[in-house]
Amino acid sequence: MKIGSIAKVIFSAAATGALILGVGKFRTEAQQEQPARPAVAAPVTDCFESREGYTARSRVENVVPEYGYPNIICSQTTGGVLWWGDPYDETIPIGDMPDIDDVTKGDYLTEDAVIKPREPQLTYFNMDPDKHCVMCHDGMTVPFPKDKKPRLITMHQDIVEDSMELMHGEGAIWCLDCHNATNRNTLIDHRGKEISFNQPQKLCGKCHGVEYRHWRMGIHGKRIGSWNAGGKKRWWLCTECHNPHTVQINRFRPLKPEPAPVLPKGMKNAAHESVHAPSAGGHGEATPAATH
Amino acid sequence: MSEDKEREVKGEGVDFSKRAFIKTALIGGIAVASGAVIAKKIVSNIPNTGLANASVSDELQQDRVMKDKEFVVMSKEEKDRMVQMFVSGYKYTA
Amino acid sequence: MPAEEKSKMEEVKGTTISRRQFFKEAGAISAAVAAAAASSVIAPEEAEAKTTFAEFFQNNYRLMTDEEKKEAIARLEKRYSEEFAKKVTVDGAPAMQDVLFGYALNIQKCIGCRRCVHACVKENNQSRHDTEIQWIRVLRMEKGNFTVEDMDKGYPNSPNESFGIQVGGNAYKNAGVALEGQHYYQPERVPEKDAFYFPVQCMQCEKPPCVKVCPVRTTYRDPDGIVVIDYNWCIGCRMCMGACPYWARRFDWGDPHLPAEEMNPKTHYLGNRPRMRGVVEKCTFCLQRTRKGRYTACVEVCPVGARTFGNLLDPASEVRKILDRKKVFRLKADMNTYPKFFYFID
Repeated sequence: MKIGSIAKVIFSAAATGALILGVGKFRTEAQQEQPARPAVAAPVTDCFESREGYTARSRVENVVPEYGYPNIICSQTTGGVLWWGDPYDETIPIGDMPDIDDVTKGDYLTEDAVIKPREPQLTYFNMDPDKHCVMCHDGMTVPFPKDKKPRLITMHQDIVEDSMELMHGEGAIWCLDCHNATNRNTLIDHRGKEISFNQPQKLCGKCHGVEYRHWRMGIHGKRIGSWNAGGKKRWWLCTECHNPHTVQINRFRPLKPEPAPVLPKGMKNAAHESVHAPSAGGHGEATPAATH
Repeated sequence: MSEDKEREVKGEGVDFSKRAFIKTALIGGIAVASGAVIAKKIVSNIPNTGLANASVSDELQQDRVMKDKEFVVMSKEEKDRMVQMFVSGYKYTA
Repeated sequence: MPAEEKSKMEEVKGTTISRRQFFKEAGAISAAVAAAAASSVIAPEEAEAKTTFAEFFQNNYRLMTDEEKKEAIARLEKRYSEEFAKKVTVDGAPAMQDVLFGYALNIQKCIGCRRCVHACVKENNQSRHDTEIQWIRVLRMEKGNFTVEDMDKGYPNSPNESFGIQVGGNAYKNAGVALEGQHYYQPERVPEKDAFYFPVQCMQCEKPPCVKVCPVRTTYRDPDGIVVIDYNWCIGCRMCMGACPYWARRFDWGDPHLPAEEMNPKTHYLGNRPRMRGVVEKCTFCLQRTRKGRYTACVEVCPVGARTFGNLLDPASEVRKILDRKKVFRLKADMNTYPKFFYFID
């Protein structure tokens, strides 16, 4: 008798236990339906700003202690800078520039326009802390070139792979039109004025006047920092976006794009979009202008 | 076993009330719980399908909306009028 | 499963307890199971559970007194700081005086790299997955007749140098380029030769149709032209989404997934503070930044400088100079909503 009732109760208890476990399992399942957070990968700490292989940056933690911001956040997938914590990190004043004829006189106040200097980033430039490029290009070790005639270069092919293919000004511009033959620490304009590697705009602007003006006005190029006119901004210099040696091939050198959006659950592919590709013809193409 | 049952049905036995309570509590508990589990399962499954459909529909909606848009150049007058409207229409209310 | 329930379960499994005790426990457990299971049906989800009662009953942000705003902000700062295990600030900065924000994007320069999309996600605490929410979408379009070369010389329209765009005014007849394309493009490198890219985000319309339709007035236009949302007051009816001519608003269908280590702790009440399930969100021109004088995250990250931002009331601002000098486009829409996000070419 007693055994029977105990068995019954045990059965009930077992059922209850199973139920509890069942609920537990169900709850676990319910949580799994909401996929577990993917582990956050360790942040990539090295990346480039605009041009791949040009302005390399390293992430530094807690540059803005107020919010615990790093100076930059790098993309996990493309090697590009993805977010700016401190827009003025590693910058110096842009240096003297003449006013231009504009409401804001070129939107320029020396102390409020800053740049990331180029010279500290140049490998060969920094091989000798005092003489810089002149360490080799002293007229003796490497003789000064006699003319600007195109020739193959044996050094610096990491910068210009094939000097005979160099194309700027549709072939009219050669290395020594911009690089100073007798002082390789500097660039040189067509009037023979020495220009610092930190101020390429003074050289580029000599031919590209409209772009230069628009750049000064803030409607060409890139700036970060404060948005108000006259506020402190970091200006991107010409060569931070364009490679002067290959600009005629690509205005901007193609980059790896950041990942596409994730398709929403329930959408198997993005085929609904491809119907608009030109191969499908007709409707998907840009309205033909010729028809009106 | 059967004797036990008989006694139970007749309402005999020392710990009748306790046992009955436990039994009722257990069975009732199981019934309510399983009912609730089933209900929860149904409820949580409906919005999940709905969620997927809803996200897809949100996704497609922008395509649809943008397809109806056309890109047109603004004339100088249009631009000036627009800027004028922005400037004169500005009002700061705290 | 609550810890209490679990420990009891373990006790049940044990064999050393007395019968009486066992009965007592079993009864309690079944009652607890019933209660737990029943409550799981109607239980508020985690995120909602964290919402305090005070938060639940607070007024529409716009109608709060300064004191109430302070309290609401303090409540949120406390809750977010606990939730994300770091010091989170919630700003309540009002619009700056004599500022009307405008945005201009050079469609000719955009290379479609999507850095803006992801900078925005990082800055504005969007849900990272399930469902992924992005405020900017980049549309890739086939160039067709709409080539950069044509755009350069295409104004005004003439038979020899037309590119499918008709001059504005009232001459709207078979004009413009239809915006059809792909969002999911993923080539090795961008830009591709045969494509151009068209990022779309909230255009902060001067006459916003989304604001007009909101039944609880939780979305409204601030004096600096930003259309903002008080997420706490949003009932998730999605009326505003349907009203938006650009479908620039996003809806949190599920609980947002925002890893604590990626959470941006500098937030604004009307901007990038973490959202909850069932509310609408959208681009706010990064007002947590821009109301403090800083450029938006998307402007700063654009590697080619295609994006510019500034004060439309200031003739010296970059946006005004662009409006003065460049060929500006707008999206031809049925109604005049006056977006303050402009597309232009050199």
